[in-house]
Amino acid sequence: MKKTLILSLFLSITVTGCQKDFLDRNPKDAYSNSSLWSSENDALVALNGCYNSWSDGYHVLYMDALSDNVYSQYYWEGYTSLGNGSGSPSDTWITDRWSPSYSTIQKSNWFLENVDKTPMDEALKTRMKAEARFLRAYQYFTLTQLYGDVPLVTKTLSQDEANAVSRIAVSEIQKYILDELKAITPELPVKYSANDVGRITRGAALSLKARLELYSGKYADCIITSKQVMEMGYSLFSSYQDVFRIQNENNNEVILDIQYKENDYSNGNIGIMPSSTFGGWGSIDPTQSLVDAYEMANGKTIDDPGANYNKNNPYKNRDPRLTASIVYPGQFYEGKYYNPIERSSGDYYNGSNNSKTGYLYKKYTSNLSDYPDLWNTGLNMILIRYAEILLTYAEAKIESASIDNSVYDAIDAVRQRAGMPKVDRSIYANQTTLRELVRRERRVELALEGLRWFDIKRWKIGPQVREGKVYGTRLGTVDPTNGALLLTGEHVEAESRTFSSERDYLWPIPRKETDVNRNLTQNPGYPN
Amino acid sequence: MMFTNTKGDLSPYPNVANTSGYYNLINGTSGSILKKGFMKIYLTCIILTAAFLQSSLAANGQQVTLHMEKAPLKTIFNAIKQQTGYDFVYKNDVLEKSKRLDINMTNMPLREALDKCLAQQPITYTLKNNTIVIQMREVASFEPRVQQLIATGTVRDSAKTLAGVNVMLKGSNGIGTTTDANGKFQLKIPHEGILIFRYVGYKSQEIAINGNEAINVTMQSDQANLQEVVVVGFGHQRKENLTGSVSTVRASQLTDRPVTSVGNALQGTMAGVTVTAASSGQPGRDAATIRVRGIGTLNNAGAMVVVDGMISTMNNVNPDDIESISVLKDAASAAIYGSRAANGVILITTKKGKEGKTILTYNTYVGKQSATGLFDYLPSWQAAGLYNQALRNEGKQPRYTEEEIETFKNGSDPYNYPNTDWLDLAYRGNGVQQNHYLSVNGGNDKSRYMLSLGYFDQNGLMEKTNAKRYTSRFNLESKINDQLKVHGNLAYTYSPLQEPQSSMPGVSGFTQVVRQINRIVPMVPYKYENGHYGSIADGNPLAWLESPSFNRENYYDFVGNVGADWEVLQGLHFKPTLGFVSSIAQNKFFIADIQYYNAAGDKTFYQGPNKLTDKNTTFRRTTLQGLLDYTKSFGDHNIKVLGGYFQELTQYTENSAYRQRFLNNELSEINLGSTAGQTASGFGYEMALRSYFGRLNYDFAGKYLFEANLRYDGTSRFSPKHRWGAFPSFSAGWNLNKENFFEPVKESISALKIRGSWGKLGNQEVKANGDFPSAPYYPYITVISSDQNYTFGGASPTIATGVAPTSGANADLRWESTTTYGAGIDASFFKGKLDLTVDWFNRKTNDIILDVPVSGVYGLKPPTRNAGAVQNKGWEFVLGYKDNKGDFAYNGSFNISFIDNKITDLYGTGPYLTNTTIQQVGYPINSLYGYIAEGIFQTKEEVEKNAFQSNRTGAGDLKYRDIDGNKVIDSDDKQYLGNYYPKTTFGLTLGGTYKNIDLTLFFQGAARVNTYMEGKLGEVSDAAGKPTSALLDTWTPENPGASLPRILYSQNQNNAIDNPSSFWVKDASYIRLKNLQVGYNFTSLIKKLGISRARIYYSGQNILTFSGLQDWIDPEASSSSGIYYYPQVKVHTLGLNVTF
Repeated sequence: MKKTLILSLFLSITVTGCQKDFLDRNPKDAYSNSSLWSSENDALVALNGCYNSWSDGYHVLYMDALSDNVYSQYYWEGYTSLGNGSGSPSDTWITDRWSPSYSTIQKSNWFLENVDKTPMDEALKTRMKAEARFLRAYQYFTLTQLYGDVPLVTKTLSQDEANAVSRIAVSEIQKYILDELKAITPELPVKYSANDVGRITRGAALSLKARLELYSGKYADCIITSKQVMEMGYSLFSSYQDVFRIQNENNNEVILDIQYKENDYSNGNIGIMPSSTFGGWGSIDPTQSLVDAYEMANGKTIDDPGANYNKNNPYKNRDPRLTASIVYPGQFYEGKYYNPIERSSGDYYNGSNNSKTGYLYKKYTSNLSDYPDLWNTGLNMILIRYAEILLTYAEAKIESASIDNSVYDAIDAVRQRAGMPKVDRSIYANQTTLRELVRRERRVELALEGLRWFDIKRWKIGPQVREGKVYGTRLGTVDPTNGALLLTGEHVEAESRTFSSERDYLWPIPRKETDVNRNLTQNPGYPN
Repeated sequence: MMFTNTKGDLSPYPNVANTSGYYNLINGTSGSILKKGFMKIYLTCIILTAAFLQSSLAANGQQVTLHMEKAPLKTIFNAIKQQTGYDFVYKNDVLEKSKRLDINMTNMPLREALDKCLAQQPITYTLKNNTIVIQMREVASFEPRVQQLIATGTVRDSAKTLAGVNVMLKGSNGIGTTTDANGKFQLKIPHEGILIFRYVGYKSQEIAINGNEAINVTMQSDQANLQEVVVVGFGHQRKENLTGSVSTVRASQLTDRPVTSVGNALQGTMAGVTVTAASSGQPGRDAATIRVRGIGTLNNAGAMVVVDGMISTMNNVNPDDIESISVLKDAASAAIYGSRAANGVILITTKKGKEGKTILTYNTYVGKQSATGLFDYLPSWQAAGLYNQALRNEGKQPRYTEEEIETFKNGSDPYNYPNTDWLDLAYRGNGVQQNHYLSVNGGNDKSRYMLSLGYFDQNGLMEKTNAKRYTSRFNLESKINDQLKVHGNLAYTYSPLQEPQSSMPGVSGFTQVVRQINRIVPMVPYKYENGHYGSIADGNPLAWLESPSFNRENYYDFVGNVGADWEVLQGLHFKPTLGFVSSIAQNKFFIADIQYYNAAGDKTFYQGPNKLTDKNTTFRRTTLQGLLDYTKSFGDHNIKVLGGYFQELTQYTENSAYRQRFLNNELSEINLGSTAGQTASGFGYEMALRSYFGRLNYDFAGKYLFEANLRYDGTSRFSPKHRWGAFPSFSAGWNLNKENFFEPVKESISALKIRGSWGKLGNQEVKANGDFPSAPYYPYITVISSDQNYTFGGASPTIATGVAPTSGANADLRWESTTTYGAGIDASFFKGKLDLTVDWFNRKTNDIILDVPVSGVYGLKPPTRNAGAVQNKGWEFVLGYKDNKGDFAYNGSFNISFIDNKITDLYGTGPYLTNTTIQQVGYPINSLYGYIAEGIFQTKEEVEKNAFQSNRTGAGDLKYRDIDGNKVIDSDDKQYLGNYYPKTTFGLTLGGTYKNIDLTLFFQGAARVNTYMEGKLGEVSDAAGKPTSALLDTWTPENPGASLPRILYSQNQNNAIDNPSSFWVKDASYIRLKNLQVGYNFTSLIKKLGISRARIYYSGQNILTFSGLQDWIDPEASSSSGIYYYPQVKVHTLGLNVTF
């Protein structure tokens, strides 16, 4: 009996010990490449994976901190140093915008390398490949804008290969992007329906192409491409302020956006804009310079002697887009008259988590009640909208000196939708004045949408706009019953910036990258 | 069936099925033995009913009145019982043969009454205490008459008499007693018996009686026996035959120290075993980290823990249950464990049942914790003033007016201009901890058992922080026959812990509560006059603390193993073991929502919604092990051979459910949350290990020792190509004291051994990869991660399920291996009064499994690679001395270890930098790294004259050294600044006993170690960030000799994190009175209560600390710990140990 017991124990050890597969354990919670790609749905799910984190609304909001539009007050949030000329290769976003871009590139490369083995509808497959190619091209657009020359990788790499890549000239990468966008344009649909809304459209590919053509001075191409977009049926949404509200997502003005969904794939960045009394951090603060850029409601700039600008009541009779985009002292906002200019107020500019300029974003946050939770919202972040295309078209025409009615029509469309008068053709009659107009128009129309820096870069106006002191509102009092202003003090100072034309138009290559890859050179002016 | 033949069994009388034990009690024995037998029965009752001991009554005082006719004995006995209170004990069949009686007696003494009743019966009785035992007269007469004598005597050691010494009659199945408080015993025994004397900490002795009635015994003290046999891998080894480096601690060194975990108890007790206190003193999160001979790897360098043969964790063992702990420090001793042994093996043996008298032990203590140090924050008026100064230093306008600062100072407006002491408000927990432990230990020559129950409850310094631990253990060993023994160990631990949570969106968690308490400025009121909480943008930590938010973690750990030992042939044992670990963890955290208001009572902002996460994990591990060992001696040649097989399968699953928007904060079960936004997630993995191993021990007459180990390990973590690793080790020793030539010096050097070893060990632990929890278990397999979702759908968005590769794989990953060689000397002087152990070692870890940084262009998380080598070289010394002068016995033990740790290779990669640390060849792991600070700039001219630092640098800022002389301070000017990990650690124990009083002092310390002052001095702000008193001495033009640079708010040129420099590196050497203990042993009085030992003690933990750091910086706290961490604690404890 006992011997049997022991024998069986011994046997059980030996038998289990001989199981050949005891040490062969496969992941139980993740697919392998060989078990994927068997159906259309597999391919769709893999493509969705490429969309995951392809772009981040955080940067849409903070990118204007690199410009004269916005001051980012917390250096630990990563954009302060990049805005004031003290960026370094080890800064957070220097590294953390490089890597995610390449992650999306590699996901897309992986998708494109594998999808052909999937048995599925060929037309759908073609469209899906075009989507992935767009996502990849978009990363290269961003990378070249930020870093200049970067490695161009169109296939998946091993670690050792990745550690040995070299930088490719911007011009070559831009040619690649344009070729890709051109190739995929016919393969993408103009519109999607139902649960596909939000995927890359033909309009998105053409619009990115138009933007890059404008940025790279290919005005003739840009005119053609933007015209193509203008013929696709996009239109400006009725209310300028409400373009950005969650109720109006995917409206007919939106060409490309990052899609978000509360709880599941949420936009957690809304709270950085309002100041503390509204439950936010006041992280990014519009500047006096931006406020001053808005024309008077009569279409004259504030420094125009005929403008009737009152510096003691500066927000009155201004371009309605000022009120739609920026919360300023005395404005009725969220149930009260906003007051950052009095020490006793909870909004006081020098209080913690309040705007250091006294101005707050209002784009995206015009109605905080749209969001039950500021840190978990479903607000899509718009990357390209139709107004930009109209201004792109106009600028390309102006720069190529082919000024005709279509230029005025395009700019007027943008202005009139916002409640502004048409362009005074007698004043803005030549290339120089029109250039000034369209640049201002871009600045105010697209303010706080993350595009201003790219314009500063290509217009090469860094020393003019990004050097020196950053100002905010004047101090004084706000009548809590009607918002009436009494401005007495000077403009508050937020910070002092420096700008080096040799260095600051490009970000440094991340130190982490140059550390592991000796083939990567550093941009001029940055320590290696 | 196991228990029926045993004494002190678990079956309550009188339902004992087989009473042979009972007859043994009666026959051939005396009353005193009878008493012992009944003691056992009563003890059984104690276990089951928690009743106490019997009282003893004088039988002569009892009188009986009976008037009955033809009464059966049973009726008579019942009547006597009613009148006297005496119990009758008998078997029913005894009375069947008795006659009925007519009886008439009035006030007759009990004994006379009994004699009369039983005179005509075939029955006899024995009277003891208040029990009357009835049995057949015939049975008694069958037993051969053995000549009896009453042995008496005194047991002592060299210094004093010993109470509680176990005195047993050899081969008697439990006849025995214990010595009383004066060391005396009395025992009725056969004329020719042999008595065995046993006492913890002494050699057991056998004394032949040979008719001697007076037997005085001197027990041989102590250490020689204690160290005689140590637990080694898969067996035991005589200390003198050890050839590897093994440190041992015994229960006596661990108990009575009110430590919350075994790890903490080990601190400073062994050379080469560095125990670093946890980064926090928070209940349930105060587990120490243990490093055996330095950090061997850049990976998890924790030692492997084996409890009673099962791989386990230390925190599931009740310190009171531990019999001994062995730490296998070198490869030679640990090689038998192969995989996972590379960082040392900690073998914990729990107490087993002991043959003899059943021993009941009750240990308890109650203690109170207090913080070893809290940040010394400035009052609001000073904090406001410093913030103003920082703004002025940056060229900005001050935040507060002079009037406001005056209002803070004079307290005239305590709601709008308060001085809130947030620490005082937060740390209002009572900090009381208590421990109760009850164990029963007993057995006979067939079976032995140990049962224990433990309860530990610890309240934190902050209300709602608490940890409890309920432990139970059952160890059983049973001999089925001479060839076959079986044993089983079962342990179940339930350990719940709870802590408050922050309601700050996106950053829930307890560390956030602690952090904000250390951040929120005193200028913010706790509450306004209207009763609403004051707040900063992050909220109010007291609002969180006082809300119903919680994090609860419940751990249910079951560890069980059963095994057998079958002596197949003489000296050949087959030992199979089957083990099972089942750990279930529940983690539930609820975040309450909070609406904030301003002083006017208007709503300001909302932290919410409320939300609940309910997570459950299961961990199962089954192990199967078979050992064959053979011991044989041929003359002076002694051989031991061990062969073994081992396999282990670990399975883990995790499931988590989340819901939000509960109706209110009162209830928090998952079903009450809204289904909108609910999520469920989970994952699982498996891991398998399989090993074959063998060991050969050879010695010649105990003089020349040799040991060889070989282990062949396979793991599921590596591809089949690299799956198996072979790990050999060899060691040898020479006991010089056994040589003839040693005789002349034996008087002064009682023992001397030299030993040496070489061995190689493996490690297959892969670091956890945050993105993809099961990735570390399949590092060679490329997987496509789920949860790469996106959303489409416009106005009514839906989740688009996505997958994508996110982590790279490495099919070439192989075993990390550690090669150690070392040598040592064990010596003992002056008849064992002085012991010395010296060890030297060199330990090199190769092919370290690392996440090597990869270019972001790769696009995936870098896979782990074998990419580094680390060396630990060092010396260890242990010196112990013990002696006594009359009644005063004293001892001292000092251990110190010197470890030199450095990275020797990173396979062409690196250096790897974090903000403040570097991993670089030639430097210690995690070295501090930054600029060399050369003081503080005094003038603008001085700034301009020096290398360019930044365009903000001004007078009052730190001056950094331009190492490369390029006139710019950049990353090329950074260099090694120091090491976090102590290069020297030491422990000193001083103990003494005088009569009944004992005193122990235990000092512990570290030297040649640095800490980094990041976040430890406070900062300035008007909301989040407050200054400590250290910041009063910052540079201003008026205070040019300040100890700190000028204070800044938003500029970071002096900041310890953004611009790490030697300025913030401080010497963190310390010495700490880790434990002070005074105890008193009760020797009189207690014997009557049936207590064999009772001791009360006071114990103080962490009560004195000497270091060069600010009071609020605990030198033992993790060097990276700043304001996030709950403080370390000191504990004052009163305890009681009782043994029955």
